[in-house]
Amino acid sequence: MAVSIQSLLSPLVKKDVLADLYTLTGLALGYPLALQDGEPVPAVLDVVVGWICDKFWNPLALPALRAVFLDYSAGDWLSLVAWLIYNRPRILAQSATGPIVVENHAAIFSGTIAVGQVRIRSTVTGKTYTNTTSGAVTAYVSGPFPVPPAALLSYQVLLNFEADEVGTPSNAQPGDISTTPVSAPSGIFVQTNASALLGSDVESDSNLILRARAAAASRSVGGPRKAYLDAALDPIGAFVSRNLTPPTIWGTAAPAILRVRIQEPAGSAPWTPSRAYALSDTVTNVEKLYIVTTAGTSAGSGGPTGTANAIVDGSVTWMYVGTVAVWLASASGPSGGTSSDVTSDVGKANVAIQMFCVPPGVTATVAAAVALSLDLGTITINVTAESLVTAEEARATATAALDAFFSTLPIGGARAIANGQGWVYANKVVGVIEQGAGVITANISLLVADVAVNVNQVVVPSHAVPIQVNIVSQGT
Amino acid sequence: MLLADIAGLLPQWMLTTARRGFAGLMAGQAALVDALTEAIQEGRLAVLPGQLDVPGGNGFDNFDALPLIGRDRGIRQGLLESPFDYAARLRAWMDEWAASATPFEVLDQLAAILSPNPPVLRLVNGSGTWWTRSTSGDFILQTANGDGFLYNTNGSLSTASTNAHAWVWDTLADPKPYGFGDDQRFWIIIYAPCNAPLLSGISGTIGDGRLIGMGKGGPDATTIGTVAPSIETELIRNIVQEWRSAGLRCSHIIITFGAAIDYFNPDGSSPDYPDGTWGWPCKVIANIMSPARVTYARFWRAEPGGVAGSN
Repeated sequence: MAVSIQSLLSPLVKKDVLADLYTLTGLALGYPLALQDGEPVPAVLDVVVGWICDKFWNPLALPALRAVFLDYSAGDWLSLVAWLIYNRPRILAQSATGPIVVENHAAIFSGTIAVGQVRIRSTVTGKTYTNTTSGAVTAYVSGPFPVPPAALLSYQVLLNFEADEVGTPSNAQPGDISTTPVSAPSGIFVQTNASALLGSDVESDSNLILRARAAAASRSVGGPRKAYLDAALDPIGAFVSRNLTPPTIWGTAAPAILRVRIQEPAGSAPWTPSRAYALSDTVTNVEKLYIVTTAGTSAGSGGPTGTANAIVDGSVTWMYVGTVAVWLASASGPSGGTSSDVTSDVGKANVAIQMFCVPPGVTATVAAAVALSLDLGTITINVTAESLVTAEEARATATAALDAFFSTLPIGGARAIANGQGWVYANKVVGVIEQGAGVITANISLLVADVAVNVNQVVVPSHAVPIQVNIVSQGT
Repeated sequence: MLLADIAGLLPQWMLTTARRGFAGLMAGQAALVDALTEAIQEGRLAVLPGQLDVPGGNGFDNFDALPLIGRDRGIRQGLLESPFDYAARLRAWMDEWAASATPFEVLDQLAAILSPNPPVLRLVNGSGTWWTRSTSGDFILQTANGDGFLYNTNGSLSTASTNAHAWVWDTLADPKPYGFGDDQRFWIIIYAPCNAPLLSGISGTIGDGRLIGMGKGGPDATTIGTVAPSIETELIRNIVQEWRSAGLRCSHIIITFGAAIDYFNPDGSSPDYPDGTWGWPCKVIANIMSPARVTYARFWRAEPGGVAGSN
């Protein structure tokens, strides 16, 4: 019996299975199975089919069959397939970690602070952190409490702390950590954190599928586009998949890189004489990419040439960005750091790309995307009273929808035409809000027209809080 | 299958009319076991792109799983490519991607999506290095200094010592077109016709007065210049974009017609080669605007959607 792939990968519906069962059984027996409701046999079959559909096939067998088609794969099965077939393990959530100065403020305690003995908290999120390294302090008598980079004194020690909960919710920005521990030996205090304590979330299914599909291209030494994508999304994995030890200074937390834009001369707008160029406009001239660092109007002829950082062309200043430009963004905005800082997210991606993707003769530049702040103004949602959706629920749904939309909007915006101008389409944004349960209409006060997005820009939205919700009876 | 044998597997008393409810119950269980067994077997076979090598054989009977596998493996199917050939390519995906961003693989991918009768395909770069894939898959590299080779699919290998003809695209073009003078560009040459009614002929000439949608173009009447439908032009463009090196640019995809003449032969024997004025479709000769390029070929911009400021 030929089965279509769509049928094979669809869940079983109990009543359909029962109907087929009666038909098949009748055919097998040579007479129609004319059973009545209430008879024992249909009752038993009904129960068995229920078990099969609801307890076996749909929850257990079907996900296993769907797993190997990435369009249908999800969850743990996707993790297995991505790892075992494509050699792309899912990037797991990592706890926020970082160094904290621990100091003894009293003469009560002296000795070694053991691992796990000090627990601290963020004053912003309330998340807690525990020391993962140990160190000795002497009893405090008198004197100052130096702050790094000044040398620490004997009653101070620098210990590493790790969040008790994995993921980015435990991230702490500089200054967030309370100086009073949640628990610690008597007299022990800490300095607030000078640098951020950063963790990472577990990789999403969609990102993992993207990396799995790009995995094969990374085997090429010729540097196809997908190889750049693969390396940028997981710089640590780029080393691991080649049986190389990732740089130890990188640690294990995945960089916050979820969006990658690869720009080449192919598909880029050619330089045009006597034209007004805005900041971050990008052009190509004789197979090299240039980006505007000072807006202005280009000269009447020529255009940018060479590989300098500041190329004057009329009143425009251009920067050479190579023959391949890669821009990176996280879910919330530009990725952190620069290519010259090899411990930053951008720096990590740059190392992986330069090592594993870029062939001789090609110059690749890796940089953080540029934030394009987009003030949406006041968002107003009209919700039917009959839907029983509360204002709070409507707000939460709208906020989640906006987050999901903007966190995955490509760098350079969405395009309706290949290689064309990228946009934030106003009606699309309204549309994602209107998908919420019970929503009749939505209005975004400052998003009255489509917003152009330059090729290296990532949109960072903001809006008035709270979202306005009108509960409106429809008279039904 | 269990259900087919059910009558022979049940005790006789269950098969009597009076007790046929028992038989029905057992047959129902058998049908369920059969269905689940078959579904599991088919599901496992469906993901293995070898099931179609023996039509009607022991595998997944339908072709419809192949596009799903193709999406995951990054292998596009030609418009007329048979599922059997496509399945074979899906099996070779790792090796094909390992060779990606090479002229060999770019031409091989093009040949695959132009099957079942792939034409002669060429890739030439601005330095005058030519790669040719014959209809049978033989591969020739010809260089300006004559140190190329010919690899035949039967395994034979020989030198190709002819000095390849230069490829001078736009050094004399005025005004300078997009990408002027850059040696890192390359061009693809497709020797049409192939696979009628697709890329089989010229449709429309400059100045004939017709517009898109007025009978010009391919089966979907959405292209101009050749009879290729837009789905084919975009497929060819996408193959070139996906399989080339990032940072290098395919300038044009040239579709040349007229099989009787060996146009654009790397050995220099052809009547025409780019003469430095091909950066634009037209040039001025004695104050008259004239075609700059040969009229027996059509020139597609290689980027999907084309590029402003060039042609």
